[in-house]
Amino acid sequence: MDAHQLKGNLELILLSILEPTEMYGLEITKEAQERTNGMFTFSIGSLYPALHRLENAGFIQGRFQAAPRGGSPVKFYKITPSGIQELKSRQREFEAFASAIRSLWSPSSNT
Amino acid sequence: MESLEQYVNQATKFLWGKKKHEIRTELIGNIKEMALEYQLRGLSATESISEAIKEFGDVRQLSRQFMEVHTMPTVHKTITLLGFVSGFALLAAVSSAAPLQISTTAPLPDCRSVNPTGAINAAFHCTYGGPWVRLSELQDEIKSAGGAVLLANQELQIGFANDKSIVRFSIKNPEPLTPVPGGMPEFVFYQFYSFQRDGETFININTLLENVIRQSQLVVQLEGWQNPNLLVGKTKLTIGTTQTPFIAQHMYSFTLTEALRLQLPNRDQDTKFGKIWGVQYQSADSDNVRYTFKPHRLELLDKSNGIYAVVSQNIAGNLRGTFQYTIAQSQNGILEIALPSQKANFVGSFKDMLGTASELEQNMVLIKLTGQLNGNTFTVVQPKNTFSLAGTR
Repeated sequence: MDAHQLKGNLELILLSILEPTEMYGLEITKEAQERTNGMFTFSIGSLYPALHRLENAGFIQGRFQAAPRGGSPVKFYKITPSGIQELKSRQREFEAFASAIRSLWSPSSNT
Repeated sequence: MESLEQYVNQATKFLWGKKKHEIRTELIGNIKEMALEYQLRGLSATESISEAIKEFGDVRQLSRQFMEVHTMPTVHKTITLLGFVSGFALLAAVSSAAPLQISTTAPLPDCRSVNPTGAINAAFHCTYGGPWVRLSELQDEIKSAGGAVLLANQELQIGFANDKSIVRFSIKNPEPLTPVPGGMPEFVFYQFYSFQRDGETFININTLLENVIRQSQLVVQLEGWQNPNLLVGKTKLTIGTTQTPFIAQHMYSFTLTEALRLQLPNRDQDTKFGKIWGVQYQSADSDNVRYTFKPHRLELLDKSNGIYAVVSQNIAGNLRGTFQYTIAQSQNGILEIALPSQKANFVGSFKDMLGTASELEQNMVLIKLTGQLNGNTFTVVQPKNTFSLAGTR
């Protein structure tokens, strides 16, 4: 996927992935790749500033806990109620946008 | 090959405090987790870390992104801080409605006496260094006003919101002088710029402010006397607290001495004892002022409180011919200030001030400070009435 397109929708992608369950950075990356059949491939580092931006905005909440396989702690993120609202709002915007684009591809009904 | 430590240090170099610690922990945890997967595929521990770091991506881009999210949350423009090669461009209009508070502290640094005889003790030298501000506190306050403060290789770098230049100066202390064996106790003055205590760095606040005045391209303005407000562009900082008050006299005199030097004849002298500067600030609490100056009360035309200085010629010994001034704050149109002669004749220009001066009577110039520290510093004014509190009008 084009990097600009990915970047523009990164927050929507992250909120979507975190909606069902709490995850940490590496899991989020894998989840994104698996659920989109490898279409979303992040430079993993760029994920963290985006997560922190969402956390600062109150849309997700992070807490440190031991990594699943032990070792150094990692930060798990979960979506907050205001994050769910934000996700719904962004989904609507995206749908409206996508639908507008699709309508450009359909043959005009006026002709 | 880049080590984990190097990568994480680089990624978090524009962060500080608790946030830096948290992000370091988060990055280390995730990189190690990823490295574990490479190890399970048969790579060595070192190779695994190396591969994981590669997947994390360009560290410079990452450090910049962290800075945008955490260090300058109120700045909208992307800025480039890498090495500060291209300068510091903080372009967003950020202002703080309430002034930010910097508390000053006055602990003596753990410094050594430069004099082996102990005749001049360490505390004497260290006293000249304060007051101090905690670096972490300074960073938090400047950051919350949309700026940034970084310390790299003992150089402090401060970017104020909207300032196109960066204020930078070394906080490395001067080396103590090596005393001559068997020599006489030597009066050595040097100022400390910083010290460390309990893992925290303290910065000399006067050194800090002097450099802000010299280097900032924004208007730098000081308001008040005790715990003054310092405005650098739209950033407003209150310096000092009730518990550890900060008196602004050094800041006013630092600026005023330079401004007066531009307007008065050059009276610098080179003597066998060293250089005597042609314009000298006489602090109200110095022995010279306390024992030789006379207290006066000036009634001012302007009833609002302000900072004033009285400039005169020096009549004392080897300082004769140089210029001196004292500074005080007016209250409700009254300025109480010590002056070098019994009777003060206030004149309207520095030119009229030159000439005969004695302890009994001399010409002086009263100036009102604008508070602007890097521009139009003062205006000459006249008092309405002058009274000597020593008894003679």
